[in-house]
Amino acid sequence: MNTKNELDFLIINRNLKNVTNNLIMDLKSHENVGIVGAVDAGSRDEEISKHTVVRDDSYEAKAYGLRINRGYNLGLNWWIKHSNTNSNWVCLLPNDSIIENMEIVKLLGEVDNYEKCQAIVPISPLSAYSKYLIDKNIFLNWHFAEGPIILKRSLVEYFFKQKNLVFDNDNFRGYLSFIYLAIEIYANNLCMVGSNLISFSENEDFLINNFNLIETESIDENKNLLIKEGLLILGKKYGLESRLGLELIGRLLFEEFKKVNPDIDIPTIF
Amino acid sequence: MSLEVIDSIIELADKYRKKISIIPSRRQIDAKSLGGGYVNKWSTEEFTNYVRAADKGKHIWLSRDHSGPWQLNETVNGVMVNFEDAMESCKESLKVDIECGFDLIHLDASLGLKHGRSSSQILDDTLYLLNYCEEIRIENNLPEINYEIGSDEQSQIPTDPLEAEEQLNLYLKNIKKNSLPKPTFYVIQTGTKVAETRNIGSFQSPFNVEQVLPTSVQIPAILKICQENGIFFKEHNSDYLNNESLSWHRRFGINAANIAPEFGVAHTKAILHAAKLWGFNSFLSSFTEYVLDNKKWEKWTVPKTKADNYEKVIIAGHYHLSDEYIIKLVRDLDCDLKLKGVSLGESIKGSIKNSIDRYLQYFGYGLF
Repeated sequence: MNTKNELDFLIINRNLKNVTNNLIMDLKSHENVGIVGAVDAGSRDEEISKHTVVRDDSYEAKAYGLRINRGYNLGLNWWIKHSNTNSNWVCLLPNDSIIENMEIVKLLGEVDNYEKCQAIVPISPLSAYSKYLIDKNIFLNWHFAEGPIILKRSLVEYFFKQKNLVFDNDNFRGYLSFIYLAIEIYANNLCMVGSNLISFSENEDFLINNFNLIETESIDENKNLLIKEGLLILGKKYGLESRLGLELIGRLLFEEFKKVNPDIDIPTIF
Repeated sequence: MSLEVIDSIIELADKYRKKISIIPSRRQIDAKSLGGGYVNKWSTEEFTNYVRAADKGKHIWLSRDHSGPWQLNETVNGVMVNFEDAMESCKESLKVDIECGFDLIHLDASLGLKHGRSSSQILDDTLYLLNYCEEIRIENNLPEINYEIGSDEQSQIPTDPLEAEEQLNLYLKNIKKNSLPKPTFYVIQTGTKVAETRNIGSFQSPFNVEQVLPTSVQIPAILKICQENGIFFKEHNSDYLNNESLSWHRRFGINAANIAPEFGVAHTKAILHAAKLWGFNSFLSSFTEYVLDNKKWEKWTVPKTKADNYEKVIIAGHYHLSDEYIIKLVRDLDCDLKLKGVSLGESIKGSIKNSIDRYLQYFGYGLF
């Protein structure tokens, strides 16, 4: 088995077993898909997917869920320590994802030409970047919206060695998570790309209509808390008043990366 | 805009000894031959005389916002103004602006898109007006004028930096081909948008807006385009931005910004506040009824607005400050307040100056 071109998938599930199982079956129907497992974020027992590979059944997880940062960290911890796979890449997904494109071989073929490329953000059709991807499949960038993400094993192992996680568990709802990640990636003279070769859209129906089944807040309340808690962390940890300060750090590190790595010919959008 | 706003700008420019543009639209102030405007019922000529006399330090740039066909009115007595008439009216307005010695003129022919003109005709119209302005300037032996091109209408201009670059290149190429002067400013969307008394654009949104480039990506991209083309980058619709957003303008390198209704709103709020504080309820009822009945607030409210009557009145009150009925109402209020030892004029001026000064501080006017 040539595992080089395989991509593993970990899906965060909270109380939506059927939705998660359907997404897993859908993913498994594609070529070059490696391990596909569910990461359980404190579901009720009857809503735990049969594909679950790791679970947090603590009181806290059951009461509040894990959200993407804690959920992704739980899955990544399992992936690097326990997964029986040789895939170099893992895709982390919320279970409300809908597959839009799945060209795994082409994507990994492109990014594996660049050793420094350690993260890929799938670009959804609703992303502001999608219209720039007519003549290119991948682009170097630093500013991505939170959602699905594909990480390279070497990056995950490096971050776990350094800090025993990838994403900040204190940033519960994941406000600006991918900007923080971009800062850490570019500060290490590594890079991240966006691509539509693998792409998902978000089915917001679950958050709008089934938030009570998921046992989470309504979409509006969640958005308010995302900002309120996110700004608190931004201020407390970094002394910044708004996202623009953090984004400036990301942008400057990105510009510096381009300057010191002129050989990396991945196109940029701007 | 109001007389008090103009006075406040002149005083603040003098205080900081730095340039500020007073930039009326054609509806606010226009040539005497075109009927003048709603600000103090002034014509361009009267406005110019007033500002030039008051601006002892010569810090004010007399400027024109959105000069182009249909910018004064799109219909007359319910009948659509045709292109030829709209263009003639615009030319007359520009001629007076230039003869009055305006320092900056924003040429914006983009309303033509609503009236059946194509994008290439809009370009031709802009070049035609630019050429016309230069003819008038040269005829009158006047110094060079700063021009501004582009539009802030979100439906009519590219929000995409690549499209904006393509448009700018096209304009600059044709301007050069026609040996016309290169504009000083280019207006591009930065993610600001005014509705009611809020800035609802993506600029200060704490989260990503679907299908809209993040501010931190959009603005540096625009700035690069402008720098490469040797043109300054001007933001429109900068009203109601919070202090944090304003503080980023200099850091991003935004060269200039237009602020319009916020200062008019500050004027109205100061009047209403004084009336309320001293219990002049009959004034409040009359003022409110008049503004609500005239429905100028409709221009700024969002669909299914939740704005209450007070908000509607502060949104639109400044449009009526030169209406006879409102002049009389405010004059009576002023007399009543004087009896109580209160100066309405000072309260209004203080409010407006605070509102303007907030921008000036963040735009570096306090720095030496």
